[in-house]
Amino acid sequence: MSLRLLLLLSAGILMTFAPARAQESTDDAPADDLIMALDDAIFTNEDAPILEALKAILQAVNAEPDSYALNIAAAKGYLARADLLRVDRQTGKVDKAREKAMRAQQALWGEKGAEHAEKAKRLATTKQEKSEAYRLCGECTVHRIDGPLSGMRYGPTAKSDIEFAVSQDSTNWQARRAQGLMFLNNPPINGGDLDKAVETFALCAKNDEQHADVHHAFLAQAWMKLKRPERAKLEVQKSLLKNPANRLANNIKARLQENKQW
Amino acid sequence: MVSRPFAATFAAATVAAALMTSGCASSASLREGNYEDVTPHELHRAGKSGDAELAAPLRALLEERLASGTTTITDEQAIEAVIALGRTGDASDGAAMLRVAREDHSPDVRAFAIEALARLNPPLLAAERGALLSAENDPLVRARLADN
Repeated sequence: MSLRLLLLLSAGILMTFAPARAQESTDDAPADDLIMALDDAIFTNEDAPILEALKAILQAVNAEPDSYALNIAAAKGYLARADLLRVDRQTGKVDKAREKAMRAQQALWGEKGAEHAEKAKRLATTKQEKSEAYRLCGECTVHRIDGPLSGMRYGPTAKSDIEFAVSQDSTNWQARRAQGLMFLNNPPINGGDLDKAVETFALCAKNDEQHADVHHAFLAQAWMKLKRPERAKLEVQKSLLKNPANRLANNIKARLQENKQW
Repeated sequence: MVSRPFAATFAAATVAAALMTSGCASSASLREGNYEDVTPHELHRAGKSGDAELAAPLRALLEERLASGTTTITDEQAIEAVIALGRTGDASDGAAMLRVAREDHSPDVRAFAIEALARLNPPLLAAERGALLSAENDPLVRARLADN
């Protein structure tokens, strides 16, 4: 390669990264605002606003790599994206080919989220902070499971992270919900138990008003798995009253409407 | 040697007998009026059995709940009883269901009672919808009334 070509390439690379770095140094949006924007985006249950908010957070993490709050937010953003893919794979209308691609994407978001959650684990100072970091790490790791082999590799780690999160803070309802998801999605041989899933999500819904739409939607999914559509229907209604955009509740509602039964 | 058709018939008869026995055992507390002892799972099975004879004890369970308030029969038991009565009862159970829809303290139970009433006695629900709506503050129950 000629020297001139090498110089041109280097200049190109510098020009590509220069604006981003300049923006980082001048971007002094407080972390709280970015985190609030992410929470709002997650509430929309749409990938595009979550991606937008996540981009801003990743930029802030680059500038402040040792911020617990920003690493937690980054993990949350990736987790939210992976969660949406899982919701659509499990309850939406997705063909086989697309399902496979979505599964791979889900594992990737899980991996990226886990990196930030791992960092947050090291930065956490209080029990509550530890609980949230371990919860996110566990939930992101669950998304990395895309088959029996990865299940053997990541399953036990994810489970122990989520259990540790609950042990650190029993009022971390997101961690309790994550436990409920393990009861919901695992086969009985791996600790799956639909009755326990119902019990756990009901407890979360009762105690965690902020995420009540999510808890009710998972409760609906658990009732559907128990072949109790009449119970699922009420939980769907409760979820949609709290958040009309809840993707899981809307997907289950569509299924219930297709297959009317009492 | 036992013939295949005989073995299959014997196995089917054994399973059916076991199912019938478990059904009877699970509804025993309900039939005997020991409502506090009936589990939600048993009430669910009672509803699935479609046994019309269970409508009277189910109605009695719900009446006892209304009479005693919150202390004896849980929300979960009441929900399953309402669903079961909706499946095993007929139009004559509409009045009992209407009372639950009006008076039960739990919005979840009231919501299920409306659904059950729509199944048991649609004209009664149509006649009472306005009164129920004007007395109801819970958004969930109001949504149920609008849906049925």
